[in-house]
This record gives sequence, structure tokens and C-alpha cells, in this order.
Amino acid sequence: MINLFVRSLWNRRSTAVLTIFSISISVTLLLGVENIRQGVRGSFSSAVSGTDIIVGARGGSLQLLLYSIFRIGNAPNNLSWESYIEFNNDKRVKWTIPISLGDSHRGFRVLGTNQNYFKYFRYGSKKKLGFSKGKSFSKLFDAVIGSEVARNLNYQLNEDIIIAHGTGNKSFLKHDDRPFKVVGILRPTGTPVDQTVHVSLEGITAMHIDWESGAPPMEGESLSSEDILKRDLKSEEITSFLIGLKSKIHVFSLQREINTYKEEPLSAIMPGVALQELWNILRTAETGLRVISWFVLFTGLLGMLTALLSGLNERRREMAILRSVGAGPSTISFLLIFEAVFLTFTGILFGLCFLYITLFVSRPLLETYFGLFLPINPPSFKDLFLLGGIILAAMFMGVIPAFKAYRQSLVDGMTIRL
Amino acid sequence: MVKIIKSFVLFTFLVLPSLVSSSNFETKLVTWSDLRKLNYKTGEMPESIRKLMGKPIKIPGFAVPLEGDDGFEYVKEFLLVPTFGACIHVPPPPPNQVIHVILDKSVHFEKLMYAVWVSGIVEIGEYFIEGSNDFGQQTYDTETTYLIRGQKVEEYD
Repeated sequence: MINLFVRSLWNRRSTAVLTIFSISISVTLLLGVENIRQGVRGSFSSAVSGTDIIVGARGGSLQLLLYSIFRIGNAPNNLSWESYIEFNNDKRVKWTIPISLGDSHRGFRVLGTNQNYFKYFRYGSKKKLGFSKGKSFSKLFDAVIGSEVARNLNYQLNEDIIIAHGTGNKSFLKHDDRPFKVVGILRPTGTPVDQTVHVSLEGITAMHIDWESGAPPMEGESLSSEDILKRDLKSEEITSFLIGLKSKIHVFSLQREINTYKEEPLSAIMPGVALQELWNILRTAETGLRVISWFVLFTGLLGMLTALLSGLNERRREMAILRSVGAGPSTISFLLIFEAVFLTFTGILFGLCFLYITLFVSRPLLETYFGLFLPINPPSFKDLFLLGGIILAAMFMGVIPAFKAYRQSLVDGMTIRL
Repeated sequence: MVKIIKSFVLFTFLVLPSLVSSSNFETKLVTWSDLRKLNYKTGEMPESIRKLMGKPIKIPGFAVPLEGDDGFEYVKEFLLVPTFGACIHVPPPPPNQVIHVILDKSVHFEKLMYAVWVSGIVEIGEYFIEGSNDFGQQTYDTETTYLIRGQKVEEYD
């Protein structure tokens, strides 16, 4: 009987292939949307851990979170070094990490910070940053690069890099008179750290010496790297800073103090709260995507039903012959239901293959261009449950043509109209 | 047979009630105004609060997420406060109106978006804050705060 089924299907192979194809695309879409949703959430929320408060210039909480942690968008303003020191010395504060942004190296953001970054910064579930090669910066023109920067630009230790002014992919104003040297490469973290070039705060100041007019120094007027090394460099402003507290209970009081700080308008946010705000905004879009993918799946299944039903007319003779050689109504029904299930099942298999191929191909691209890290997991229990549901739905849909074929074959068998 | 039934009846009436009333097994419902009785600066507290130490309690509140379990999709640590959202008209809640909750099993963040009941073992801890005063002398402040080792988070209804 399987033989019979295979041959019958082979006879109608173009319809069958198209049906399988449409189902596989809808399955890819359905699971892909879910995968991307989890990937987006995961990569956003694993980027920061153990930080109680993020402080930046006065602005929206989401904006502050996005530029300070995810390097998306820009800061409205810097904050003064004095304010930073003021809160750094607060007795409730255990540690702070200063962050200075605004420049880039071939599309990768440059972040100025100090040793606290490597000591206190945490990601994922309180994981510490580690070096795969080299060590932290100690000299003025030292740089530590993230794993993705190293991989993408194929950088090794001791490479000289030139930092561009501004954050574009290409820049026409470069700090090329003051090259930095790669002294360390960080281990992959799956967070925006991988795509960041880290230098010291003093390094950021150093490369902007003579830029007071907003443009690079005129030829012959710029100080050489050697001259700068002799100077006593101090940071005058930073973009934002992260705070870790001794006791979490003080989060609210310190946050309010920073928000109402008289000397300078500042904003303080709690990363967890800001992330939840972000989820709330994203949720609408996620629901929309999910509804669309359900409709696509529904269309795919309907397409299969249409193909089966219209195929029945062409298969009148086939059915009549089957009946005449003694196939019972149950055999006919079984054949048709089995066909629906077979088509759907093959569609799902192809859909899964297609999904994983797409994920593997698009992952490096998404990582490089959007900083998104999609985890490639085998289908979860929930996914399998969903796929089982789709097969079940296909089975029920198969009942309709099965019933029709049964009626038809009976009628066709009785009246000879050939 | 009769004997067995009799002894069972005895057990239910004599042993079980004593189990239930023994404070070790009872989850006490605590209100935020109870918690205010703790003087967080001196660590002084009335007997009613001292009795709670190390005991399971249940309290309603709003959660402010602090720390996730590999991200913030599942929340492991949060601060429990009596009001939702930051009211910017008055100063934030004092330390005795904030409970640091550490769960043994993380919960999905969507569960924490509305009011919740939190039950768990309450700890009252004192710790030192090192600092210096205006004359550059070292000072030590102590502060007493609440911590709940959370066991269960339920929707408030």
C-alpha cells in the first residue's frame, strides 16, 4: 500500500513539491520569528549584569541604556569629571566604571574606561571579562579589543590601529597622528563588548588634544605622540558611568540623589527596569509578527487542502480502480489522510532544515551589523509541541478530502461515465 | 483495627494542631507598616519584628528587578516595595520599606509586572558603611535592612 501511495504521489509530484515547499516556508517563518524574539531578548538582557545604576547626562532612560550598554545611538551630552568623582566617592558606592564614547575604529565603537572595567564589569549571569590574548592597557596608547573586532579585522597583538573621529563606518577625519597599539584581546562574550575597542580615559583625552576647535590640528601644528606622553593628562568629562552598590537597598535613594543633583542635570537608571520598559515596547511588535506567521501557516495548510481537493477530481479513476480491486473505504480514507500528514511532515522537516541553514548563514551577519547574537538551539519542547499540533491539524484537514473521496468513489463505482 | 483508627484520630487532634501553631511552620502575613517599626539607623526593633527573624513570612508588594538569571528574561533578585513606580514628589522609600529578595528559583519577568505576594524566610541584617566625615575622619555607619530568601512568588489578587 505504501508503494501505491508513493507512486500515486510521484504522479502528482509538482503539486506535492509545491505544497511541501509552502508548508516548509511557513514553518520556517513561525519558528524563525520565535527564535529571533528570544535572540533579541537574550542578547539585550545578557549584556549587563551586576550593575545597579547607570548614570548619564539628562535624557530618557532607554536612550541611556542603549548608548551606554549596547552602543546604539549617541549620548545627548557628556557629564563632568567632578560629578563622576562626587558619586564615585559616595559611601554607598562599592565600585564605578567610567565610560567615554564617541569615536570609532572602522565601524567598531571605541570606549574609554579604566581598570575597573576589567575588574567589575559583568555580563550574562555575573560572568567576568577575560583575556584570550595579552593583557589590559597600561600605557596611554594601548588598546584592548573585543573578540569580534579581532576576528573581523583579523587583528593580532601589537597591531597599530588608527581611531576615527565620530562613529560612522567611514570617517574623513582620523586621529592618524596618534596610533594605538593592541595589547589585549578579550574572550568572546556574546555581548556588545565583543565589538568594542577599549582604551584608557587618558587615551581618549590624548587623541583629542589640539582638537579644541572641533577640527583636527593644522599640519605641522599637532603635537607628536612623544610630546603628549610627557603631558599630565586628565579626563575632563565622560559619557556615562556604571555603579555597583554595597547594599542594593540604597538603589532608590542614590538614584533619586543623582536625578536631583543640583550641580549638573543627570539621569540615573536601573538596568533591569529600563530593560523591562524595552520589552514592553517590543512586545507589540512581537505579537504582530507572531500573528502574521500564524496566518502564513494557516495559508500553507489551506493551500494543501486545496491541492488535495482539486486533485481528487483528477484521481477519480484512480479511486474507482482502487475500489474495484477491493480497497475498502477505510483504505481510501487512510491513503488521503496519510498523504496530508506526509506532505506536512516533509514540509516541517524541510522547514527545519531551511531554518537552521538560514540561522547559520545569517548569524555572523547579524552579529557584525546589528550586534545580535542568535542562539542556535535544537527545537525546544514548545517548538516540538507546536509542530505536533500542525501535524494534527493536517490530519484533520485530511479528513475532508478523505470523506469526499469515499463518497465520490462510491458514486463513480456505480455509474459508468467514461 | 479500631485501635488504629483511634490512634489516628488522636494524632490529628493532638499533634497536627501543635504543628500548625508552632511558628516554625506558619507563614506569617506581614504588612509594610509592621516593617516600619524597625529603626534602620540604630537597628532597634520591637519584639514583634525581632520574632520574625529567620521565620517564613508572606508580604505583598511590587517588584523592581535587580538581577536576572542569565539575562533579565527570568528574574532572580529584586527589590520589593509597597508602591508601584517611582513617585517623584516625595523622597524614595526609606531602607525599612524596601526588601531585597533573592529567589532560589528565578521567575519570568512578566509575572513581576503586577503586584505579587512574596513568601520566604526573612533575614534582618546589619552592615557597616565605611566613609569619612567632613573633617576627613573615618566614620562607620550601620544600617539595618531586610532580606527575604524567597521561596514563592504568586500573583496578588
